[in-house]
Amino acid sequence: MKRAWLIIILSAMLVPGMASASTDPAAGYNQGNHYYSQGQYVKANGWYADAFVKNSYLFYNIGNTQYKMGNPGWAVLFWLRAERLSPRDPDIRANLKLVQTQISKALPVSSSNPITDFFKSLRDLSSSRGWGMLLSVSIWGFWVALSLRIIFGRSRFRTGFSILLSSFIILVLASGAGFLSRRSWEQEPAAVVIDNNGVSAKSGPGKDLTNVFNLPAGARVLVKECRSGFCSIELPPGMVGWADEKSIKKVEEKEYR
Amino acid sequence: MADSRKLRLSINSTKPSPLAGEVRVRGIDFISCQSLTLADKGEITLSLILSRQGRGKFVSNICNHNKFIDSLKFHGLFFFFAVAALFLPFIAQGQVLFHSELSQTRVRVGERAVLSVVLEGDINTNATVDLPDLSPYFRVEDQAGPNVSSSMSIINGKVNKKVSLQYQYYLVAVKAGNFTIPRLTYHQGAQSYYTSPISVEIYDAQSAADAGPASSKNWAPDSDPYLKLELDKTEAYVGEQIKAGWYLYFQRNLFNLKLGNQPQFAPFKALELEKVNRLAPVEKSFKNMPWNVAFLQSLALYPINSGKATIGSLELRFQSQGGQHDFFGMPIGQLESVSSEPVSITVKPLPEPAPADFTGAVGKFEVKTSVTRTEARVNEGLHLMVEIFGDGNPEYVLEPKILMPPEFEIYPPEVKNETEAREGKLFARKKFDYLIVAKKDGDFTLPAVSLRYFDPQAKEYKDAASRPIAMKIFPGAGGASAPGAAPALAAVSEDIHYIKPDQKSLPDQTTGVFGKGWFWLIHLSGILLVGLAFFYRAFQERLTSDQVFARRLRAPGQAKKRLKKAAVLARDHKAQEFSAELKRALLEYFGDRFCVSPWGLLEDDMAEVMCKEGIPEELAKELLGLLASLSRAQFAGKIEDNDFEKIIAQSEKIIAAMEKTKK
Repeated sequence: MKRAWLIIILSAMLVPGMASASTDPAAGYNQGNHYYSQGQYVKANGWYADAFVKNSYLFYNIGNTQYKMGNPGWAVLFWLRAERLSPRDPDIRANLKLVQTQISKALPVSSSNPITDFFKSLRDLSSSRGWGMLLSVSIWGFWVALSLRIIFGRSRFRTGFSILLSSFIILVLASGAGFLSRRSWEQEPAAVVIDNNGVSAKSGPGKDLTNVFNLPAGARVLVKECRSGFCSIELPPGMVGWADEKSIKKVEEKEYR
Repeated sequence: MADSRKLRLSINSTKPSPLAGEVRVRGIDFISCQSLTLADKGEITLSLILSRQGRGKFVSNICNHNKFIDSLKFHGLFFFFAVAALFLPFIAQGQVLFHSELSQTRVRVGERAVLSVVLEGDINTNATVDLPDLSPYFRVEDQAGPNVSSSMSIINGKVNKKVSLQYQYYLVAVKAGNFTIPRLTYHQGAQSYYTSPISVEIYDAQSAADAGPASSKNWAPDSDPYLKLELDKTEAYVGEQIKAGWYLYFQRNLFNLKLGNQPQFAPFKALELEKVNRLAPVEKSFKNMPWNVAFLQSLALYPINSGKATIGSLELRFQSQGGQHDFFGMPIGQLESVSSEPVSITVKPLPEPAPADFTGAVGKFEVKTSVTRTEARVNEGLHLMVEIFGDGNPEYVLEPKILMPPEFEIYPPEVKNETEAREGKLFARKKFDYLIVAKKDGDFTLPAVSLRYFDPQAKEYKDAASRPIAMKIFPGAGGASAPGAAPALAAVSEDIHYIKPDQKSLPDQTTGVFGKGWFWLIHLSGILLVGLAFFYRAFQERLTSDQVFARRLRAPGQAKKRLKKAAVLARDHKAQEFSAELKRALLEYFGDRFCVSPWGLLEDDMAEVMCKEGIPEELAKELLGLLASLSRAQFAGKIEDNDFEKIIAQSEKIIAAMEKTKK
């Protein structure tokens, strides 16, 4: 009896270890890299899919593989997912820019405003996690600075601690604004056109309705609602149409596979 | 700008804000703002230049959409100033808009069409536009205009003048054929402005009459009006194009004609071929009775499955003149409708076995390939264009397989599809634009690109192939220069960045410290820290303001220090100094502990103080006894060796006992 218990306990201890060894994401990722470097993109994609974990390096490499496989829509989707985790990564930015330049030629409208672009670049300095971390550090620094200001309120260091406290208040406000704007952007119901032939937006949820505009693969849209296999999509300038649910894919999903 | 047109976008409102309210669109195209005029308090007019990317329907959808209006409202003021700031310089510099439009692009021989030419901007009112020679297809029957209108606006004190000239040329088609009205030119100083060329199809009146249903002595329509579906064939292969045209036969006066329910095309893929905006009836005879026959619309149908397939009925709604008249004696129209009868056709399956590379293209096709340059450098990006033209269903023309030499990299193509109606058939032109990059220098041949299709007339599978292209690739930067090649330092092509390197571990980046308890505890500890700071500050303030508190607090610490000092003297057996130091330590402790000046106090006074403070009598006696013995030792100058430690221990014991009695 004692022996049986011993076996059960040992099994319980060993099984999780074995499981984690067989599903090590880094191993699958590195194997995918190996096939990618040989130009075997389909195999590489399979290994990346096995290694699935929400990691910007993995998403970036999947995006590259999809691009090489001739799926620009899927490529943009995964690069956008990677960009959400590492907004300052120059490789992700460069690839997105390259594809967006190609897509923008086929898009009916484009909007660019130096002021909004500036604020966007500030927002994209970090992910919401990064902004949240900075906000946390700032808040803690604020508490410390406030404590020091209280303790040394009547000493000759008073001015120095007052400046330190003010700096932390500014930092808290700035990082809070960055965190909120980046988080609200990340929580936008964004989607990407994944169909290689693009998508024809209809005037309503039905395939026999009038085409109102066409979007190329890789175009980023906002999804407002979905019904009867069609989703109401919106382009930033306010263009609205209904696209086949299968031809678009949301950037933020519970399961990314 | 030659490929652009003008749109006037008006925003009208009864509200004081000129940017709130309804948006109406007059015009066709849309993309960029050309000028902006504030007409009065309630109306703003934007003149917009629109590229060919935007079609009329599309634009109207944008502009009529509430979201667009909302965004216009939201960004209203900024939009106003931004547009004004961006485009005022152009207006000031005399931007000229020049475009032409033909009333219809399909004209019958003998029919009249109106060519409108508009010239707008900072121009002279005497400006003239020369009409090119339109013979032998058109004769200029008459000319109206120029209709001149001018406006003036003052922005930031700067006066801008705008003149609009409109010419109308009445053209009569004299010869059948496809003709392109050449671009019109207007010169102003060193600048030249051009309109877009206009393609027009001129058809023969007789051939048009022949094209429709022929006169008959044996058949006549059952009703007036009568709607009939005419097919160019009643038997076809799967995927073969069938032309379906609807004709209206009528004798009585009809007006307000509108197409109602469209026919069902479930077993077909249907694409629009021709449609008329205005009826052009031709008189024909049926059973010796004159009937007007007018073409309504035609579609290109591609059967999807073999077997019997039915084309449903098309409904036409109209009003006809009845016998009733209104109050003013005007005839009252009656709303009626007529439908065509459904027609069945036989769809034959394609012969088996189909070739392995057959993708479903049925009809007649041509394949052409071209490359941007046949001479290039290594790593230079080139565009290989594969163009497939034919009358089959474009959906079945899939991306061709190109067997490129291994020295070339080829990237997924950009696909464009264009359709055009020609000789009563729909032709599709599908373009695959590939980016190719040579990785090695040398002479190469890009292979022929082929498409396997089924020719329904020959009833066999055929192969349409392009010609191979010879390429000469020169070495890249640092090698021998190619004729007309770009400088060595210029970027030659673009590609995505390479993948990220191998990793030892791949963490999930969405889980972080935010979910950990200790992270939030650290934040709470910050609040605790502030609380401690307040406590410390209050403590320090009491120390400085409350002397009794400060002395009592300091007493044991000070005593301990002096006891240590005395202990050092004890080690050196300096009895006199030891006694003096220890006595001082005890007296100072006494003074701090009871907040009195210990110097000069008699034994009785000390006993009284201790009695008042509630010190036990034995402890008070012990302290006083110790002080007395120390005084004696100080004067005698002698203490036994063993007594040093005992005295220090006794002192420590007394101080500890005194501390315990603190209230």
